[in-house]
Amino acid sequence: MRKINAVDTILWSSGWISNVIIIAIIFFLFYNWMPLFRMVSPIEFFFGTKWYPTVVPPLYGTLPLLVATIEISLFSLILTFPISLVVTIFMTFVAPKKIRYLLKVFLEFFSSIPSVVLGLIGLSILSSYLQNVFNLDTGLNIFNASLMLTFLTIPMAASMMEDFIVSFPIEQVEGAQALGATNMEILWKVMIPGLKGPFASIAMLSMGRIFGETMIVLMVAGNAAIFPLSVFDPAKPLSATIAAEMGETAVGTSHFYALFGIGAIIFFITLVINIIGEWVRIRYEREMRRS
Amino acid sequence: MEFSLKIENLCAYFGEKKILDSITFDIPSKAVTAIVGPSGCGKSTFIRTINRMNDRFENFRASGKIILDGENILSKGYPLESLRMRVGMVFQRPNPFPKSIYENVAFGLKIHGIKNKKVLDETVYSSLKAAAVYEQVKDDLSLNAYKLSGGQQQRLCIARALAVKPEVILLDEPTSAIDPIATKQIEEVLERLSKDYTIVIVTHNIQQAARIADYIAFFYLGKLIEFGKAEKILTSPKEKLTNDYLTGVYS
Repeated sequence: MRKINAVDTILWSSGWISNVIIIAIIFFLFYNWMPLFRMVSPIEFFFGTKWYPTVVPPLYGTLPLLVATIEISLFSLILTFPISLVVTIFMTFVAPKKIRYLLKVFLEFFSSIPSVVLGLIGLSILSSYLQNVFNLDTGLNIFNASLMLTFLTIPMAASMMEDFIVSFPIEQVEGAQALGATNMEILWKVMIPGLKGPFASIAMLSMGRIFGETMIVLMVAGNAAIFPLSVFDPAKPLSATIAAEMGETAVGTSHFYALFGIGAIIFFITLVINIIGEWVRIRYEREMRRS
Repeated sequence: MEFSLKIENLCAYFGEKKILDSITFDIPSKAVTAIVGPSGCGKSTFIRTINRMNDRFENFRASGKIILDGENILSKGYPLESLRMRVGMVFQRPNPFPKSIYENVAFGLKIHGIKNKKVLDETVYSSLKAAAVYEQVKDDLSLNAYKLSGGQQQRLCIARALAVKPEVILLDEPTSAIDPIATKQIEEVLERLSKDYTIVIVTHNIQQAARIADYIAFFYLGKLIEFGKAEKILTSPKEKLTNDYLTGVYS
């Protein structure tokens, strides 16, 4: 029989403890969610278009919250991706070496700004600016939240993109150079096509980051549970709903169970995003491995 | 005899370290010139200086002249892109792009603005044929180049270099990463190509140089020790160092 030493035991048990904790979290979410369906039908919960938890009888339609979350996340991702790419290209191909180093430090620094600070900027500066420039009823809306989430995500996305571009196989870069390709041609015709997989997984990871972010959306999305139509509408995303309402909800009420349901929805969507990201990455690595 | 490249007093440095020391000789056109010598003698640095591949290293510096068509390609203003169109290169390890076979060969043409489908098709076919890989891949040119064997990949890389119609082809130990049969195929390709192209090949394999080279340049510790017709260098070298190397005193 194999001898089991202390290190084995520690590794083995920490691995299993983390599995058990995840399963416990899932169980806990479901345990506090399922009683809701004794009072509200699943169809109403998932597809209802009105979230009025404090009227009598309360309405627990999560669709407007989900739509708000998706709108904010997609809009933010659409902003994040190209901006990060431009930052990365500037850092790796355009900027002189000294500035590149400064920029990298700046990016690291930027990524350490707490989201509550970004929320504060959105709340106090950007909102009044938006309100005046676009002549809106409120500057706290999807646009504001997306912009602030974009600032939150760019450092992470850009720094990952930079890692991939810097570590791009030098043989392929030289192969293209030897054919007379310029740096920009190498970037667009060799590197970016070759990095489709990693870039897709960066998009997924950014999406996961944006999706679960609470503080910013709580502060600047407008906190109005209406069905958002334009990006200048205020909205109430899933995560902000839990944060805003959990404090004033009595344990064991339908509202309490409904908020756990929202937690479960966030959990599953994030899980799916991460699984897709992993899958894309693994598929890319398999493709890149030479037979 | 005609010469493609005239090397005059070429010195090259990485930082303070002198890698090439006053290399002077002319590379004959439409012939195979083999650069031989023990490892670390500057062979690779030498051919990578000819198409200025070393420029990407910040501490690299070269002095002297490499004359192509009356112009010094080492001069600051010399356009790198057109130099590399005229002087193609094949590397030690096959390095196709992770694209289809067709896209690999068409890459050089496309970045130089050729879009005409007919021209692209014809060049891709003729390049693949010249590199003797057409027969094996003709059924599916959309196949990813990574699916090919190492030898096929290396011939694809030769085809890719040929597609931009260079005058000179540099090869940096092109067969060191592939098997003997594929090596033989590549040597045959190079012999055929030498009728139309100037070929400069770095090799650490004397037998290979004996098989394919018309001329041999022997490098030692960054210096050109001897240059001449292959038979002459191999059978009656003038320098003792060359003789020692050929007889295997050091390698």
